[in-house]
Amino acid sequence: MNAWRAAPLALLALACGTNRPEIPDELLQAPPTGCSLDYAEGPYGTEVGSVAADTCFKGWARPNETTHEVSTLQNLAFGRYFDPTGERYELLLVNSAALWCMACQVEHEDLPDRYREYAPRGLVILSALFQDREGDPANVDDLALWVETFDTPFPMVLDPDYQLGVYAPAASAPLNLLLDARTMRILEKFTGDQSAVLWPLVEEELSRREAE
Amino acid sequence: MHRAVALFVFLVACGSDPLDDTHDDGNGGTSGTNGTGGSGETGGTAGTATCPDEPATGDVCSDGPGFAETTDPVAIGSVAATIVDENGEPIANLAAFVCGTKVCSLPVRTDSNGNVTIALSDSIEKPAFKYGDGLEVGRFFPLLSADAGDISLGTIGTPRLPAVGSCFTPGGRTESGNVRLFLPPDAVVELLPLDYPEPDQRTFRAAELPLSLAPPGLDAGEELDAIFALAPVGAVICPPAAIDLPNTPGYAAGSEIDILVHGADVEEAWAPYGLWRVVATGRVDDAGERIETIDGGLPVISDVGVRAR
Repeated sequence: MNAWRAAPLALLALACGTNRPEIPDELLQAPPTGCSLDYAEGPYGTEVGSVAADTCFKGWARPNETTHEVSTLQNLAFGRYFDPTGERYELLLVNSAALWCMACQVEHEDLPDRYREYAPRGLVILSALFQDREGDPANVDDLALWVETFDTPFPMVLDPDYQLGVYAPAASAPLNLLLDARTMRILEKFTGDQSAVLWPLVEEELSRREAE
Repeated sequence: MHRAVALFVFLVACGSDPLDDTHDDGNGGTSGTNGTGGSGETGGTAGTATCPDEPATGDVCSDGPGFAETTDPVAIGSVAATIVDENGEPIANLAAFVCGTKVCSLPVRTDSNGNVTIALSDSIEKPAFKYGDGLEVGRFFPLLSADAGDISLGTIGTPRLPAVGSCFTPGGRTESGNVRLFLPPDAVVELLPLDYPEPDQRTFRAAELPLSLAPPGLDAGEELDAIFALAPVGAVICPPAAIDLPNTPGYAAGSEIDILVHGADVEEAWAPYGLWRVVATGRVDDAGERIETIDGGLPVISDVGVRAR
C-alpha cells in the first residue's frame, strides 16, 4: 500500500464523532498514471499537437560516464524531463534506433555534437534502442555496444517492447519526436533521418523561446 | 566514412594464416555454382575464429570519394519475394527490409517457405530490398523501381557463406569461397564493432550468387556476368586490396575485365547506394581460370561483380 492510499485512510481513522477531518484535495485525486509522479496532464495522444503520454524505460542517463551493466541501469521516463518552468529543459527530442538501422547509425554519429551544442540552451535528447541486428528486442549488451560505439553523452534507454512505435506513422526507423518540455506536447515528428529539417526547427524553437 | 569512436583495426602479422587452410592452391578452376571451390565449406552457424587484432580509436582509413546525391522519394506499396539459397532451398526466418538512405522499414522475417512480404506506407528515397544477414548468407540490396506500386521479386537467392572465415592478412593472401584478397603489407582493415561484435564475424567470407537467382535490378543495368557476396559488408581496406576471382563466366585468357563493387553504405562513400562502381581492372590468367587484378583494388567489402570491358 503506498502513501497515496494510506493517507486518506489514516485521516479517516482519526476522525471521531461528527468532526470529520477535511481530507486535502490533492489526496483525493487519483494517483498519476505512467511512471513519473509529476507529469503533464492529459488527454494524451500520438499526433502533432497532442500531449505525449509518460513512457517508462530503463537505461543510462549519462552513458559516457557510467559502466554499462544491468546493475547500473536506471529508470528513465519522459517525466524526468517535464519542466513546466523551462528552467532546465525547453525541448525533449525523443529518438528511436535499432542495431540493424544504418540510417540510425549515421544519425547517431552526429547526435553527440548536436547535444553538446544545444543542451546548454535547454535541449535534452532521449534515445531508445528497440531492436538488435536481427530484429529481435534489444538487450543491455546491445545498448552497451551502441553507447560505447558512439560515446553517447545523452540519455539512452532500452525499448524492447517498442513503446515508441505508437508514434510512428509508418513501421520504420529512425523515428524522432520533438516535444515541448514545458507541456510535453508533440511539436513535430519525423520518420527517417531528417536532420536537414529537424535541426533548423530546434534552432528556431530555442531562439524563439530565448527571445521571449 | 566518419564512423564512431571505437573501431577495430586489423594489423595482422605477415605470413601464413592458420585459419586459411580450407582452400587448395590452384583451385581457381572449380568455381561450381556456389563458389566454394570444393573446399567442403558449408553455410549454417558461423564457426569460431580468432585473429590477431588490436582496437584503434578514431578513423584510420580516409573516407571514400563520396557519391551521395539527393533523389525524389519513391512510392512503393509492398514488396514480396521468396528467398532461397544457392541450391534453391528456402531460407526461413531471414530478416528482410526495404531500406533507403534515410529510413528503413521494420524487419519482416521469411516464413518456412522463404516467403516474405513487406508493406510500406511512406515514400522512400532510393528504396532497396535488403536481405541476407552478411553472416550466414550473403547480403544484397537491389534497388526497387520508381513508383512501382506493389512489387513481386519472385524467387531470389543468396548464397550461404562459409562457416569459418579467413583472417585478413596484410602482405599475404586471404581466401574464402574461391575469392582471394591480397592486402598490401601496410593494409588496415577497419570496421564497426557495432555491426560485427563477435571476433569470428570480423573474418573474410565469400560465396558466389548463381545469376539465375539474382533479384531483378540487382545489377542495375551494369550487365554483370558474375556476382559474389563478400563479408563483412562495410569493412574498409586501406590501401585497397587486389582481388582475385574465379573465371565463372568463362572469359578468354588475357581478357580484361571490369571489377565492380556494390554500394551498400547509406553514406554512399564508395559507391552510390544500390548501384555499382568500377574499382579495379582484372585480366584472365593464361590458364583461363582466374581473374586477377591488374589495376585498382577493392577499398570496401561489399558484393562484387564482373563484366567484360
